[in-house]
Amino acid sequence: MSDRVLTSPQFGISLIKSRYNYFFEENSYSVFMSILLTISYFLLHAFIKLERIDFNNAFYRYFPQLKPNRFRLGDPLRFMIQLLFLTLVKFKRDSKEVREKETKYSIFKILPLFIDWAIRFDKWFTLRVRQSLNKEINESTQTGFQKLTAADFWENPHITKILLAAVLFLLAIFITVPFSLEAQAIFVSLILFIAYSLRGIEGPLPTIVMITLSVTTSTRYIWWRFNETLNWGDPIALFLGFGLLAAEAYAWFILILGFFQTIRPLKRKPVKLPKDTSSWPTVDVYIPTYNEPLSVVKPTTISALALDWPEDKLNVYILDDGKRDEFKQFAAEIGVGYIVRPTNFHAKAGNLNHAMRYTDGDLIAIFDCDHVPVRSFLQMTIGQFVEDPKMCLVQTPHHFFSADPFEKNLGNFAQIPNENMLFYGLIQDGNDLWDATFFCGSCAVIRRSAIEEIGGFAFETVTEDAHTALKMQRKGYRTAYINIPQAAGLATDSLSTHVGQRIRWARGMAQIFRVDNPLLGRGLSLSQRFCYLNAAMHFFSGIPRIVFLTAPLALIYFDAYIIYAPFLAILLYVVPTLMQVKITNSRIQGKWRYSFWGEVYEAVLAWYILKPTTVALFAPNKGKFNVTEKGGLTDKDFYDWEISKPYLFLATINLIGLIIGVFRIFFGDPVQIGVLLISMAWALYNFMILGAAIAVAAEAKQVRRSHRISADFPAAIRDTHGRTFKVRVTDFSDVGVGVSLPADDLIKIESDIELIMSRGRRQFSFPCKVINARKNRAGLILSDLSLEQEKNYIESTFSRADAWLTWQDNFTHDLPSESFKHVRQTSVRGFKSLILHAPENAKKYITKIGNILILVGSFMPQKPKLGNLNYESAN
Amino acid sequence: MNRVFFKGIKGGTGTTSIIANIATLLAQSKHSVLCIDLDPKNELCLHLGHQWHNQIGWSNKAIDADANWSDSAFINEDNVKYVPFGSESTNTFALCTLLNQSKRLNLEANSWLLFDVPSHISLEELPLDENDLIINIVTCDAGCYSQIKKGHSGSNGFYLINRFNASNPLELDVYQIWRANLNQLAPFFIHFDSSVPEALAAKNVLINCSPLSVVKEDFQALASWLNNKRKSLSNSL
Ligand SMILES: Nc1ncnc2c1ncn2[C@@H]1O[C@H](COP(=O)(O)OP(=O)(O)OP(=O)(O)O)[C@@H](O)[C@H]1O
Ligand SMILES: [Mg+2]
Repeated sequence: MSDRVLTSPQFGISLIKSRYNYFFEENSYSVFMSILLTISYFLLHAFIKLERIDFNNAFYRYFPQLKPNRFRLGDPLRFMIQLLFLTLVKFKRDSKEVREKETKYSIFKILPLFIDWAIRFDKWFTLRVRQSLNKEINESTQTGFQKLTAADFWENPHITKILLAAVLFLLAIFITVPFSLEAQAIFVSLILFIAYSLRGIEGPLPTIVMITLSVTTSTRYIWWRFNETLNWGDPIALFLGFGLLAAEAYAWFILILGFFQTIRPLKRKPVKLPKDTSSWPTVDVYIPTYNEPLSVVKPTTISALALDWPEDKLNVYILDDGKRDEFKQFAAEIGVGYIVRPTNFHAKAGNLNHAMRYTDGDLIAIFDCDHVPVRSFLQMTIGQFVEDPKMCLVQTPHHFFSADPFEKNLGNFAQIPNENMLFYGLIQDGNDLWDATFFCGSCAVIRRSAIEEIGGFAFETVTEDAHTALKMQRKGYRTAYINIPQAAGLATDSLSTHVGQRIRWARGMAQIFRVDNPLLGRGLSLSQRFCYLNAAMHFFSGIPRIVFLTAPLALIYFDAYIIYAPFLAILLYVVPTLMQVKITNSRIQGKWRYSFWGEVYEAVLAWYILKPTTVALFAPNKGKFNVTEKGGLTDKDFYDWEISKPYLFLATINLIGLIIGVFRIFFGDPVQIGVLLISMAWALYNFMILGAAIAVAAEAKQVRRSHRISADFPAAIRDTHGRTFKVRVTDFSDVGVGVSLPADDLIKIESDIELIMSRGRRQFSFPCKVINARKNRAGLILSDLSLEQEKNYIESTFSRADAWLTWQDNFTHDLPSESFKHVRQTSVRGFKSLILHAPENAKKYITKIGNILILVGSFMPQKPKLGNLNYESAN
Repeated sequence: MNRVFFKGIKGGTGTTSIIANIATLLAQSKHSVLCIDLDPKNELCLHLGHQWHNQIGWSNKAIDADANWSDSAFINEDNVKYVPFGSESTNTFALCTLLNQSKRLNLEANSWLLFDVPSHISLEELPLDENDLIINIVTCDAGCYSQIKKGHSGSNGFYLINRFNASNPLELDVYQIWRANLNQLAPFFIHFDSSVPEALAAKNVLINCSPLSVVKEDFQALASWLNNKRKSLSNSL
């Protein structure tokens, strides 16, 4: 339209009028603006041939704040500001080529290059030597360096001791010797240089080097803090400074323990079972339940029955603490045991102990009633028990097919690794190396005789599972972890229930530390004690996290120098240490936890686990078992003001601190500017983390009661006329499936069809109704299934052996800068959602302030959107 | 040369449809295929696009030492060669002669020779040798079940389930029993699909008319199964 108006040959008044109409009618500007625009259009037109300028392609990229066809009064000013900005600052094209070029010539490539040369030289040298000695050369020939490292000589205990002593001595020097600032600068740049260089090299050796470097720098940092940065002259600063130092010491301790715990994840493989099935052990499957609806327990029970195991060696029991007739009837119908007890003493542990009196399988598999096992579960786990008579526990990961509250409320389900993944993907595998696998209460198999030996499942604490494993490990039993998801369940679905669950875990771990401290007592190896210590310490993160979230305010509010050191020293100690630790952790954990998210998760929980852990430490018997509610439904978006109070409070004081900081920079003592800036940067970072925590409390509605699980396996349908089509199932839930058809519009909406799925060589057909169909996609809803059909349905969906196998492969390795961006965006979203959910009368003011901010912001210069500009003329 | 005898364990199990489809599939993947209809109903040619008023087949030729019945072979668009039964009646002797002569036909190496054997003919009376494959077509119903239970004659061949419909509990039960007890059951089945009769109405076969059907996949499974059987047979020689 506009093209025609711009180019049509018209003259005189009619031309002016058409211009005016163009602005007034077609673009609905006000009368005033339209007149103004018309006049300026013709004025401009006298000098510049406007239609010659390629507006859409170049101009608006350089002036992103100007919108095509939307002229605003301030635009000339915006134009000037941006023009000034563009002339002063040079921009690189954000194209792939430039980035590739940059990474190609980075200084961090130097070290890898040298290493590469060294390896090549080593090979070449070996070759030469062998040639001159006339020895043959093949693939398996060791190079000189390999020979050197593999020599027996290193195994000699004296040599190892001497080496160890030497390393420790060196470490001690690097940690304790005070450096001048220049020396420290050189030291940290060297270490960072090595660390950044090694980042791109694969393999365990660089990891170990990076860990060593991190241990050195962080320990040096703590040493420095202890010795040189406490302000003994100022009691307030000393007190606060000690607080911060204690929190830092905690973080340092966790860091070191964490390195130890995950130094070499075991990645255990399943052990093959003997051919002769008669030698296989008998297995009882326990499904404890208390108040969950039958619809949740049903799939679990059915899948448990369908486990690949000789029928006469498999018994399934529902342990119903809710004592419901409906369950009893279901159990009878489907043919599983049903065990109830007169009381509900000792919650889950009591329930399991009671059931053990009525069953007699060699092994006990435990599934929380909402964890649906796949058919291969026993095949993957039992081999360990057959092979090792001292094996008492095999744990598999808890995998969730629904979004946890973080994923749901932040809308990033299956996009970034969730909170659980670090534990089940890395830490448990790390624990396994030290024979300290944690029992997580579900998706695990336990040896009956081991439980009997410790007098039943531990009931002294609210985390009966961890404590039970600890007791068995004390008796010299071994544990194993198999990192292959063999069951899946519902995640907690609101932040408050999630927090409730974590409170219980935290309280439980604190209780274990009181009643059966893993550091004391007999039967554990030192490494096992360390692993338990780390697990427990993890739950004491409440106080340190809050200290970190408030520490920078000490200087801003009270002028308290909590790190009593010159600005430059702080900069040279804090920042490099943080960077070093961050990149090392990113390397170790990057597949299972993205940078900065750990802080968000901790910030969310900090306040809530603070009290229960502290209370449990002093009075371990206080605190009762609360069941986490699952399968709930929130039918509209709402903001959980109650739970977010602590984050809001912390965010507010950080914000106020930032404002005060700005004032102090302009009007305060100029000497303080450096430390003020550091404190403010830290407060800003805290503010960002808290914003992300705030975003989590914005509860997203959840309308679909049945969670759709994405999948990809073949099936078939038979339509009303009896024609068959092969299809692929793209997702399924307990009430329906989504399919992709081999061509468009094959089936009609509302029609009744049959869905045909197979399990092994068996085949089942399910009556379905087509509830939606678009192109080659269709949604089917199962029509009333009989119990038998329901059984078959679950067997051919939920308990497919490959159902959850790909969950870990979906994520790329962490990129700290990307992750930072993501957290920042989330944080902004969090504050926006606050505005959205603010009470009505406050909203008006907030939107006014917001509008003003947006207006001010629109005058700010912006980075041109160069993107992939494919021609040069715009310059 | 690979001779395969398809025979319905009773009438109407789908033998003719299966031969027509598998022949087309094999021919499309560049095998040489010759089908010979031994059924006086003379239906096979209709599946293969034969002109229905042309009633000439091998039974109309004199069965003598020259084997000039092979002149009555046709070839269709899919390169399937076929010999219709024709319109005369025959006797066991003629059948035996035909079968014996079929071994000496001048065909490419590794050609498939598929026979449509009507359910009333007993294969035991015919001159087969041990390299011949026999595939009994069954459906999961009481009729076939009792036939097999009685010790049905063609027990030396394989059993292939046709028209399988998992929504019928009776069929599921029969299938379960056979799967557990019938050693010679082929490890797959052919689904029920109304496109099979629809294809015949178009004088064609399902794998051409409904390429998206599951049954096409079933026939592909059958084809590769046949290929494997043939390989293991020729290896054992
Ligand atoms: N897989 C199938 N799904 C649905 N219908 C089928 C299928 N196979 C065959 N039919 C149908 O069953 C009927 C009988 O098929 P066909 O004539 O091939 O059987 P037959 O065993 O050769 O019979 P006869 O014993 O009379 O020679 C036909 O209408 C055919 O279309
Ligand atoms: Mg027939």
